[in-house]
Amino acid sequence: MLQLKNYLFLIFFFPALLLAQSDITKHPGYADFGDLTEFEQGDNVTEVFIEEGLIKMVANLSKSDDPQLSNMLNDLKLVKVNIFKPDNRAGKDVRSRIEKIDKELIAKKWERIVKVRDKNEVVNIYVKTSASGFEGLTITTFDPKGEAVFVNIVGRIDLDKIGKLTEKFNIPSLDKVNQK
Amino acid sequence: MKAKLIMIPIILFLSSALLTGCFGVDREFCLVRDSILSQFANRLYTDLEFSIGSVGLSLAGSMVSLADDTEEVTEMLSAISGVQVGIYKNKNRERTKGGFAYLKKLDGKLRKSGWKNIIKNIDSGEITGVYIKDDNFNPLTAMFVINFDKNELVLVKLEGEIDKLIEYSLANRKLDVVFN
Repeated sequence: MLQLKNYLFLIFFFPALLLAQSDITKHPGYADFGDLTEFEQGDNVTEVFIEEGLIKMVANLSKSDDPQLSNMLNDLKLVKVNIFKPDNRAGKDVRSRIEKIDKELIAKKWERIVKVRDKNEVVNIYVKTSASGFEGLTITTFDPKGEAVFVNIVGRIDLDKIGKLTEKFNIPSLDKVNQK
Repeated sequence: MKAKLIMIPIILFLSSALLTGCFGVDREFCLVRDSILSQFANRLYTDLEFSIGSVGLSLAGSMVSLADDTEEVTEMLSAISGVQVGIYKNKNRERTKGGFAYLKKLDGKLRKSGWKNIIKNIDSGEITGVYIKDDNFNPLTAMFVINFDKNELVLVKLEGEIDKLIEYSLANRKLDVVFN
């Protein structure tokens, strides 16, 4: 009877465990920006959400041309980008959202490696580390004259090689990591 | 007798076209179309709907290959096994309000049918969404592109070796088509 209970436990427990692991929002390197719909009302809005399956496919395609990039991509689980140009009224709310994200990430033990406040320009860069290295990278930027950019890359990241992602995919604000 | 001689090639042509998926859109396309049109509350009417199968695409590839500097296009066409297109005109020609709201509502419905959004973009009043078939264990075989502005809604479903299409894009134009 005890053996049967154990088998039943395993049958029901493992699928649940697998489902939990496949939820990217539970990954330590994932950053929740909240619902940005209220800011995405104007023109020039872009949202990108590329998960592991598609990233691995791109990694395989890059293998022969750029093995270094391919290896880097194979360690990534998610690339999430939000870009929008808020109007003057929404500018204050965007800054509040950036501050809120800042507090949440710090509370979750993200390390803020860059903080810039310069003539109304805001730049924050965070990394999430673990015993095995970097697990996530988050960038939030806002320039009232230009645009707001929110970037979250989940997975093992080599900051020295981050330039390869910039070179290949032109992800906005990623070049700031190397500059800073 | 003459009429019969004329009808036979016409029937043969229509049969081959229908068998290869020409003219009609499939059930999956209809599900996506209906999900979108229901959000527009009958403001859109069908202007054109058609599909092109492998025979039609082969013919197109043959014709394209006759022109100069078309190797890239010919290779891309060879990766596609089917294209379905729907064009729906906006009766009122009013600017689409709500921006991403339309696409975000659609995300939930399409996710249930196995489609996952990877890109959303608004640029000068034109809204574009790109969806891929969510099947992590197989190569990328289907892609849906949704584009609408105040004049019309355009739906395009591509089937085939979509990963090869992306490979050509990466090799020739990079993914900065999204961010620039």
